[in-house]
Amino acid sequence: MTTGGTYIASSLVESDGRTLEPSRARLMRDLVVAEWLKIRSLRSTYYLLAVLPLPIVLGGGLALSAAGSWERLSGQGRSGFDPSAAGGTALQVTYLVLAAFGILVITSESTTGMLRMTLTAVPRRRSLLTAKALVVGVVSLAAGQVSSFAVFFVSQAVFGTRGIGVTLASPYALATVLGAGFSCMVMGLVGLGVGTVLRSSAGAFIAIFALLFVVPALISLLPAPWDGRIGSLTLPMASNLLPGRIPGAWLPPAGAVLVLLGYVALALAAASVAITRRDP
Amino acid sequence: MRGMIEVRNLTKRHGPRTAVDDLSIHVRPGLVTGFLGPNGAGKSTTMRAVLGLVTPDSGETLVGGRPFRSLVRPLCSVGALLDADAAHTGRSAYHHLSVLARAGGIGRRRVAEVLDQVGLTDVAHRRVGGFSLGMRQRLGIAAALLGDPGVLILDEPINGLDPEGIRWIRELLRTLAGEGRTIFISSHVMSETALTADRVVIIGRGRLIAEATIGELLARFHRDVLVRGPREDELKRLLLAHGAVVRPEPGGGLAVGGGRRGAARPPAPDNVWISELAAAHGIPLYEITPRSASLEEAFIELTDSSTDHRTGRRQA
Repeated sequence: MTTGGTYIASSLVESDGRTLEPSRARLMRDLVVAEWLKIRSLRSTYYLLAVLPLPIVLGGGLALSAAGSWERLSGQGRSGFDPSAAGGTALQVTYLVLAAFGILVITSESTTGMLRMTLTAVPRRRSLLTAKALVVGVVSLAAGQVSSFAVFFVSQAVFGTRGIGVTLASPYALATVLGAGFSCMVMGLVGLGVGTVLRSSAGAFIAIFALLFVVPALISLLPAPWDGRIGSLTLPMASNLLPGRIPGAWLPPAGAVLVLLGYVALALAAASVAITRRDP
Repeated sequence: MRGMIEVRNLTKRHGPRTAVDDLSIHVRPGLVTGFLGPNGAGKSTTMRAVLGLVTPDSGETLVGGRPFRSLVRPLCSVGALLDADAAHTGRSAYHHLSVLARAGGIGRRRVAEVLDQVGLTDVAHRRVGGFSLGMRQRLGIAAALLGDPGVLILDEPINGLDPEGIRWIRELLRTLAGEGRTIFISSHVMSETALTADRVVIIGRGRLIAEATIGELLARFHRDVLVRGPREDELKRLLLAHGAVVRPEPGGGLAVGGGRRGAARPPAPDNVWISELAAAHGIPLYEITPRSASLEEAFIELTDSSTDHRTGRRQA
């Protein structure tokens, strides 16, 4: 630490004066682990994750209700009934929870002085955002897929008692389940982007709520065929179009994937501009 | 130069208000430099600019010759204390420091070390939200020390500390400066800074007012000399005859100021001149004390004049 009263300025400077530059991969790994620690060391994370089993129970309830109405359906109604998607409505709760998770990953810092402290450790703001996006993406994808599979199995267990259950091998079933899990990741990342731009937990949550529910409702008021076409570009509809089970859909599954990734790209690009241009 | 903080022609506007106005300062290693100014003078903005948290409208700031944002592992070269709320209230002190350490590429071992150094080991696993202001200040100082940096930038480090804490941080900062580190601390209270700092940089309304050592500042605000003796009436006549201004002190003794006869630019009568004059006339002295305006008075005078100057200029 001290050498003859003269302080050697930085631990990164070797005795011969060369500086030890850690590799980019090493730097990013440290940032990702730090972000993971941040999430794990806050109670709000656990409160949020505690809500995640709710949609699974809700999925079972919705399946029970759908199975009851199936018995009253005519033959044509029964042929249009898709048991693999019937529990999916419950996953909208999961979307909201994971969007809130994405929002909190940034607003828990930007609404306290923590972001300033973080930036004195990590002055490269885009790297910080990248690390946050990696953690939010992986966590929300994992939580989303687990929730999606759980909702599927619970609702098929319910349908199974009426003899109308399907398996993952049934047409569109696996695509439906994987698509919903993928959409959860999209929601987490869009939440992160919107939270970075708006710097307010409540404001960002309202924006996400609007994207999921208000905007689609308004677009449904447009005259045909625009209601369906523009409607396909909304977050919930693009997510519904992922498995490709809706006949005559304007947007094919690949298109739906691109639309959802477009939301992520747009949200994170806006976040990148916001975090680099604005002072914390 | 390694460890030097340089602010070059820094200007930062917040809307119509100019927070920092073409400010240039140098902060050298091996010293504690106090950064003084009234509230709103631009101290925090300047410090945040040095830390890359504030983007200047013009000018630049360098640490060790490099812009802060270009540092790869900045915690290892620059430690910072910002405001006391610079931690998430829901996180424990230990986790707060662990997160920063990991982001800055510093091993976990340092976390326990700095917690011990600031005296927070016993409350390490309590949430920051329950901390007193003094404890949060200590946590902030722990964060600044994490990377064992050569440069410390501390915004109002003495705020909220109790007398024991104030003495502790003074000794810590003096030790760190003695090791050759650059210590830059802001304050709006002159007297507490004078006890810690070697040099002071004084700003007002975002502009540089004075850059001086504490000694220079005291000399500049020299007021008078207090003289006591058994033959004060005789001494008073002698001093008056030599052009000094002499007032009797309420508590006894004479306050000697004013000019000195015979000198081209009469310097104020100093202790040397007074004692030699008294000795030449065989007048004994019991006490002779040069007195300065208090640093607080000096500070107010300096910052007031800057305010007047700026107001006058704007009206012109």
